Amino acid sequence: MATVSYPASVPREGHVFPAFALIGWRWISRNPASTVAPILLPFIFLYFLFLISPGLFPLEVIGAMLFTTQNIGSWVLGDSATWRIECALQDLFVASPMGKVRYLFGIAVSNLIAAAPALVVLAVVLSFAVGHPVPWTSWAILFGALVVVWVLFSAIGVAMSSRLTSQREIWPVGNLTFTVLGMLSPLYYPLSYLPPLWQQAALFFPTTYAAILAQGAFGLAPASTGSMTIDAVLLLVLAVLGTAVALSLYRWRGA
Amino acid sequence: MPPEALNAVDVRKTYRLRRGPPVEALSGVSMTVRAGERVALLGRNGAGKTTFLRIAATLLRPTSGSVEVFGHEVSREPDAVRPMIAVVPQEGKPFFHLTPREQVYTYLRARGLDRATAHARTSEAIGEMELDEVADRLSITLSGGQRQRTMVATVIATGAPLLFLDEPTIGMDPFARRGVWESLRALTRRGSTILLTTHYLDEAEALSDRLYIVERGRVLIAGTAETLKQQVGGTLRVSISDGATMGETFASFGSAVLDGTTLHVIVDPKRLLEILNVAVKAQRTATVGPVTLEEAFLRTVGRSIDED
Amino acid sequence: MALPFALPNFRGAASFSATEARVQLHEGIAVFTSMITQFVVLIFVWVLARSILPVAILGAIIFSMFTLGQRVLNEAAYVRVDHKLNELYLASPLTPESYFLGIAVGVLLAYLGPILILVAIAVLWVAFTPLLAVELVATSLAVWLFSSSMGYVLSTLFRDMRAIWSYASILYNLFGVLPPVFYPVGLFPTALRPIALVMPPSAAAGLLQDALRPGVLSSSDVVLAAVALAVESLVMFGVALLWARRTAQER
Repeated sequence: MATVSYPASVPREGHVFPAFALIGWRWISRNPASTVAPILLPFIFLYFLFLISPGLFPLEVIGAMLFTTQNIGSWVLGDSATWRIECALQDLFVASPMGKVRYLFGIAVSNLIAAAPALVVLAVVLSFAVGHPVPWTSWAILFGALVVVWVLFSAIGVAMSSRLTSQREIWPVGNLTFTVLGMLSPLYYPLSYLPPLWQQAALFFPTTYAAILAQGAFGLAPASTGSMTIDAVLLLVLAVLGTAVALSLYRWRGA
Repeated sequence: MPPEALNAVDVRKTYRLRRGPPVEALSGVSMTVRAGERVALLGRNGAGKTTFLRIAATLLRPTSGSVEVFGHEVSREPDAVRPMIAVVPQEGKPFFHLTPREQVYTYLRARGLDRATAHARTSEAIGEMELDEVADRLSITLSGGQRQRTMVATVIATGAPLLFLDEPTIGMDPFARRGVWESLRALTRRGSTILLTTHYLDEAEALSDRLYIVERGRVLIAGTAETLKQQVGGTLRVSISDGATMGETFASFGSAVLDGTTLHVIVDPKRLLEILNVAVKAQRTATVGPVTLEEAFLRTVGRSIDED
Repeated sequence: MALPFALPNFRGAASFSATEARVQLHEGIAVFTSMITQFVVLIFVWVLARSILPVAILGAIIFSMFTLGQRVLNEAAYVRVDHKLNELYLASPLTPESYFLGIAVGVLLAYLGPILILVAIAVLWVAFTPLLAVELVATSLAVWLFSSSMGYVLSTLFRDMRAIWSYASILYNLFGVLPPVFYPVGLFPTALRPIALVMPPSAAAGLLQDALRPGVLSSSDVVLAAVALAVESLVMFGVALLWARRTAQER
């Protein structure tokens, strides 16, 4: 293998945040509906859930935060597929020092910007809905769980997008994947509400542990330090495995 | 940096489709591009030009064969190659919600350039592509040609040592195309190397130092525009009105093609006076002009199709 | 007496509908996933409030008919923005109103399968009466007509597919999930009930809930919902026909 000798003017690595933060910010500043939808949709469902089961409202708010974060994966899928299939823009980034992991983070960051207002509003609602003082450690646990879910589902979204061949596949594939994944985990209610078989199946999903952790941290479900530690470890392990699988399936270069 | 920017040996590519038999897009392409050259790939639709370009630009894996860019094999060492290349994809579009200025700047930042350099190069590229008037308009409001110029600006701003341009002037008016040609010539004067595909034969002739004609996944012929024209048996074209009735006579001077009632004959300059004498004696009108690249291309590819 | 406007001409609508249905059926995964939101909501209801499941199932059918409009919006915009194929069709004997109706009917035909699955579930869980069955068909068609017409009109307003997804999801979830479509109208704030009963999906759902359990709505509410649904569906359809003609030639 020849050693690399680059001209001085050629950067060896790309930058994620300066580029994709601008891309994400410009999207929401020029398309206000792109922020309204992420804010409005969780509240529409929250309202519905509040009507049919008012006693679980704080838990449902945490569920909405987790689902909104997880749904970033769906937007990542949409953006990534559109930029590749419709605009051939991914080619510009492949043929550059950016690299696929940076590109994934870039799209994930640009869509996090769109989701951030919704998450902030939901966090404010949660602080009122909980009804008792919540230590900063609980917020830190929730934040950590959201970050893990964001990374995992963004990786899933971009991996799936790399296998799509048509724009028309974006909406149904995204809808199927992320809605089903969201439903398999008990985001909006305690795990114990599910039938036993479903409970067992839900334990294979990282978002189940994210939900259990957050519910426990806010005192909305019984949890001990020990059980929360186990849940955190399981969340991390499953998320790392899931992300690794997604990255390996992510087709950066055409086959 | 090695003297060869690109060296491809026996590159093959077979696409396996979801439905139907596999498609062999490349059946053994070999070529070399020297540093600082401008090389064009010509061919019919589906000949394999874009497939080859995408393999060389690390966008696609070959089925077999090797392509080295500045001494690094693209399949095994893509990360070593990628900082040194940039690509204008076929039918690419800028981000709809960005302006051309933002598009170029964002991409340069994504490639690792610092803010000041990115701003400076953005302004330069916008000016070169004559996008100043629309630089701050949303890309979704631009015409097809303006969007394509934005894509070209995005890539020429990078200053990458090797640029891959897949039909870079498609959708542009003649003035814009010439502007792009001048920019690309300036780039190679500054040391960049360019490999492009094009359907515009005047572009290939005006812009490239060498060209390769690709047909059905293999290189038919390589050389300069002049050597290609010479391959068809002459450098002059004599067009004889109502020449069909004496087709055999005129065909003895060189390769002849009938277009309506006009017979076009490619002749060597040494036989020009001879064929003109025959035409005048037969009271036919004859016009003389240089062989164009388009004629040479049509005859070369046409001959290949006939042979197959 | 000559009319001040030309009557609609649906020449070619039938064959274009068949074409559109075939196109939609090629996207099997889209047809299959069109019920996802409905099933998610039904699961919520099954887990959290099983007693209202019959109401939720009827609401799911209405919501399904309503979201056909979102499919029409996506399809019409995609064909126009990405492929410009609408120009091929409009520069032909196919009239603009047939083009619109063809997309709407084609989408309905293609997505009928999953909707009938919901109907089968409804037959198992809901105590159907002849009145309820007739009302289900009538209100479903009215909601479909309103939603498809709205979807087509909206499709002409966009230049970017990504923007469509944002606006469409707000609109269809706002109309379809927030008002009492999946839950009993009695849970909706009384003061706001008239607003819910003039919105086509919740008007339809309210009528069905009243047919399921007579007395859920007062007589005046029944009249309000029925008239609103009928008038809005027909008016929206008329608007879509006019709009189709107007936008056939871009200004």
